[in-house]
Amino acid sequence: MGGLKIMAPIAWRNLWRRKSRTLLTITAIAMAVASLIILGAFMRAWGGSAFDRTVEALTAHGQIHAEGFLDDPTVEHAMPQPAGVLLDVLSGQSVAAWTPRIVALALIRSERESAPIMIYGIDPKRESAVSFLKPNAIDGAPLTSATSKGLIMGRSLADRLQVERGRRVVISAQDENGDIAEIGVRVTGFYKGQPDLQKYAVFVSLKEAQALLGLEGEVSEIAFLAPQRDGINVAIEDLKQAAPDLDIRRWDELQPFAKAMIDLAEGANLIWIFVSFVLVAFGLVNTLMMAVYERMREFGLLQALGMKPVLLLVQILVESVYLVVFGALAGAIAGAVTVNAFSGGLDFGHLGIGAEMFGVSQVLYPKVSAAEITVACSIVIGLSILASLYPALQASRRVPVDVLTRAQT
Amino acid sequence: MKKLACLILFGALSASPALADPDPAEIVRDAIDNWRGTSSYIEQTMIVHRPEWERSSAMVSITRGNKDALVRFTAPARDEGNATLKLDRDMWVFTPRLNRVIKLPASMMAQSWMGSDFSYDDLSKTDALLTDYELSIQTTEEADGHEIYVIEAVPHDDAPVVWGREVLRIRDDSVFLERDYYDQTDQLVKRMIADRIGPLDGRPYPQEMRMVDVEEEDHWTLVVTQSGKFDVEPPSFLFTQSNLRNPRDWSPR
Repeated sequence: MGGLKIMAPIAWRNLWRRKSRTLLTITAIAMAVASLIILGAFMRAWGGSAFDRTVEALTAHGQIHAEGFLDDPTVEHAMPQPAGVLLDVLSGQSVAAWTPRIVALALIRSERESAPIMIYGIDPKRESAVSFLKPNAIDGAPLTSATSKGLIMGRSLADRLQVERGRRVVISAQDENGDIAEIGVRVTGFYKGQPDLQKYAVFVSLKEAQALLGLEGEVSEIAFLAPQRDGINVAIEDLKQAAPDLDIRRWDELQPFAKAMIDLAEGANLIWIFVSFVLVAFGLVNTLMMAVYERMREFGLLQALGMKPVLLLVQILVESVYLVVFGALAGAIAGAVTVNAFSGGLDFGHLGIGAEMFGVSQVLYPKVSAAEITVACSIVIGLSILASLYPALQASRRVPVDVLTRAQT
Repeated sequence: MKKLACLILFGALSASPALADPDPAEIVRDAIDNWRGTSSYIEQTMIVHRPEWERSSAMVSITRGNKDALVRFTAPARDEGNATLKLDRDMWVFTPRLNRVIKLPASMMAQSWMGSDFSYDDLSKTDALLTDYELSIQTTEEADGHEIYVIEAVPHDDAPVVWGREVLRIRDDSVFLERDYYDQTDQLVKRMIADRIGPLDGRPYPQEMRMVDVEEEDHWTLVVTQSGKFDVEPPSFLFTQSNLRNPRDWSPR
């Protein structure tokens, strides 16, 4: 311990004997830490965004259907509107928001074209709390209540049908008796984004869809959100207890493909982060080793003057601890500041639809995470100390005469 | 005396608009009835014309009331036996080559019937004019000693109709002369015209009806009526799925 006491100030002074080298090393470490923090934050934002996109694209955190609906989405597999215990759980603590929907395969027709669609009867107020279908996501007049008239479709479907806002389209579907039910509805608005849904998802009010299909008082789907992502399982457990004979599924069971994509993205993130760690570590080791080898002659001289090899080792280690701690601190601050600068959203608008194809929104919102900073710092500090240990050991083991004669600088 | 003349004149003035203002719904209903009778047996040829080719086939159509119909193709050999059965709002088609009766799903109702310019809906929804539209007489024209009513049909707001409006021309003896389909920007999309009117089983009848796709040049379908009988009281076995598959011969006496 006494050695450390002597060596600490000596190491400190040593650092500033060659300012440029010290600053260079500190900069290298700071850059490593900062890049890890920034990269991590963006990757997390990307992965989170893919999840959010899946959730808001009607999937929500989970859905409730009548048994059999998912295999055969027809009117026979409708269920009564939630009541009793189920309604209590839905409006309770474990569920943040829920919305009832009618979902049915249908055909839409304009004067010149027709297309198969999925028709959704929705309660606009509840829906806007659960999915992307909020009033500000709609060009034109949004549906205002569960009984309002009008129809919201995607722009790409509208282009295919050659319809504009205000035009009447005809929806036909099979009603409860297996007969063809038809209704004429005016297009009141178009929703933005959601390139996948745009092609087939069409929204009318819950009442209108119930009337068309003869499903008064019934719904085909209930979508719900848990208060947080890690509360989903609790919500599902509660709901399953309240409605044991209904089919209640989590988002990743409903969208296995999206789940696989997100897992893949997160897996790729880990690999990417690992690779950049290795690259940064090698750069760091190189810098530190060079810094020690450069000073072999000095170490030899100190030993020749009677310094114990252990103390020499301690000195070099203390120097690197100083270096990496300063470097890591500076890096953490730089990283956090950079990420914070983009916390208002990083707009990938110029990638446009391209980004959406990957299931990610056009704007990413990276966030600083204390855990990530701690991990990045401790990994860099640990690696750097290990990296400096090797040249330090070498230096302390060398025979002074050898070093003095050989290391001509 | 003067007072009486005034009264008569006044009475004539107030009565005359009532006489000149027939009910458009009644005109349309009469025209549909004239076209179809309470029941009918009609032999027709359908010519589908395209710029590159033309195809003609013969068919027999039998109707009962205003809801049920059976259409069976008799020539050429390629089309022979193809049949369409309509009962109320449901339709079935039979194709001998597949030996199968298929119930038409909603998704097919807007599609072309037998490759012609008629859609299944055109065949199955003639009565929609009376239920889904607001009818009004626009003008009346004079031609060949007949009065022609020009009736505008505007679909009700929530009617399952894609058209913006339709314009019908119906002669005072209940013959359909023309039906124009306008889209919701008031562009003419297709038009059905009676090319030739002649007597059929004692009543004036559009013997040649042409459906023209206005937006595609030289696309039309012509239905020529050779012979026909009305009020034939067809037996009910005709309008069954089993008869659709295994036709029993029947023609009116």
